[in-house]
Amino acid sequence: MSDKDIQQPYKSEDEQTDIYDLHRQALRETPEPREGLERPPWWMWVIFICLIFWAGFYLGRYGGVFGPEVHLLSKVEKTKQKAVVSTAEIEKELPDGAEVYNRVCTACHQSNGQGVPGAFPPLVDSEWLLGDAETPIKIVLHGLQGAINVAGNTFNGVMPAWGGQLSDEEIAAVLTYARSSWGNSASEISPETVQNVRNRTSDRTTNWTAGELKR
Amino acid sequence: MYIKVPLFFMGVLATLLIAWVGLTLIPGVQISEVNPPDGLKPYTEQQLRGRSVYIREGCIYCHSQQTRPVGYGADQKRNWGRPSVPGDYFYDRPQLLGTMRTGPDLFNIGARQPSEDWHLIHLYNPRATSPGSIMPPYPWLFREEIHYSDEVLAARGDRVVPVSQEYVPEGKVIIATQDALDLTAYLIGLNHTYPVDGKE
Repeated sequence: MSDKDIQQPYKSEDEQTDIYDLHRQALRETPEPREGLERPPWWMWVIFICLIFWAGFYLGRYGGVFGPEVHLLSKVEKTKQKAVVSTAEIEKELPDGAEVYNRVCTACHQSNGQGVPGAFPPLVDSEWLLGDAETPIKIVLHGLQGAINVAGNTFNGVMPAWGGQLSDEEIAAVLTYARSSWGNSASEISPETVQNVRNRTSDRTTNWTAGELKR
Repeated sequence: MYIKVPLFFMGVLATLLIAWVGLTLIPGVQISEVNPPDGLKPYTEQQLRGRSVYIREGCIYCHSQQTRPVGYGADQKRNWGRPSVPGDYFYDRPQLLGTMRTGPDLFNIGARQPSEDWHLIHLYNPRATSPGSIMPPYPWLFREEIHYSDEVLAARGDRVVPVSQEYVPEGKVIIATQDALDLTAYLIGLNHTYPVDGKE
């Protein structure tokens, strides 16, 4: 580079623009935008505040007290909310004997009614189940304890009492199911019969024994 | 680069603080005021021993102890009992809530299955009571002894488990150890069917 080059004003290719024009063009440009801390527009603040108020009302209205009470059936029944189906509504439907059997009885007496050899008596061809309706109702209501001979085999165990957990309708349904399944054919049992037996034996606190039921 | 470093860290700190207050502090304060429901009894000594067996054998890996409300799963339809509340766990330290349900929830197993015989047979070999069960057997909770005669067993006062012959080695009889009896006592004691009105 010689001195001569530096002193020459810059010429563009068409030799029409000089350095002053270029400066003017540059001055017309707005500065490069930069990110920074801009104030949000006022309407955005309004939306935010409205949302915060709405959230507060929503939590106050639907948050319960952030406690477990809202999930409890009894509490729900009291406040008549429809958040949960109450147990009373579930019980209004007539129980299905097979469903009750699979829920409560299958564990021991097995789904085929054969029981577990040496431990839990079968229900198939069981004279205790298929005889007088009162006997199986008593067993289900208050349980059974001690040695009992079922279909030629002796069992010595404990059957729990289910009277506290099952309603009259459920006991009637499940006994009717057991008395008419797996080749059994005995008459069905009505909820009224169960209610009758339950009332007559309401003072009982211990399990039955085979000897007591035979009487 | 226009990050305001102190502001950035203040934001991180505020996030952590709000999360801690909302997820730890407030629930902790709420739970600290919970009292046991009237229907809940403290564990007996035997049940506490059984609870330690429950922990030792890892039951928690496949069984939960928390029942959920309608709308949060099928727990109610499965007859697993009313939704659990904080008070139900008053005597549980640590709580054995569990996170997996490879097997059923056990929060109310004592109400669903109150038979001691059933639990003992089931622990010795689940297939003996529940065909197709995938639960592992726990034979080390039991002793296999030579079956001399019923009189000998009665004289020793052993708890004989009435397992079906097909699951028992020839000429042997299954005796429950103290661990098995304790665990069964604990399981039968898992009964939270008492009513809770939510006012604890």
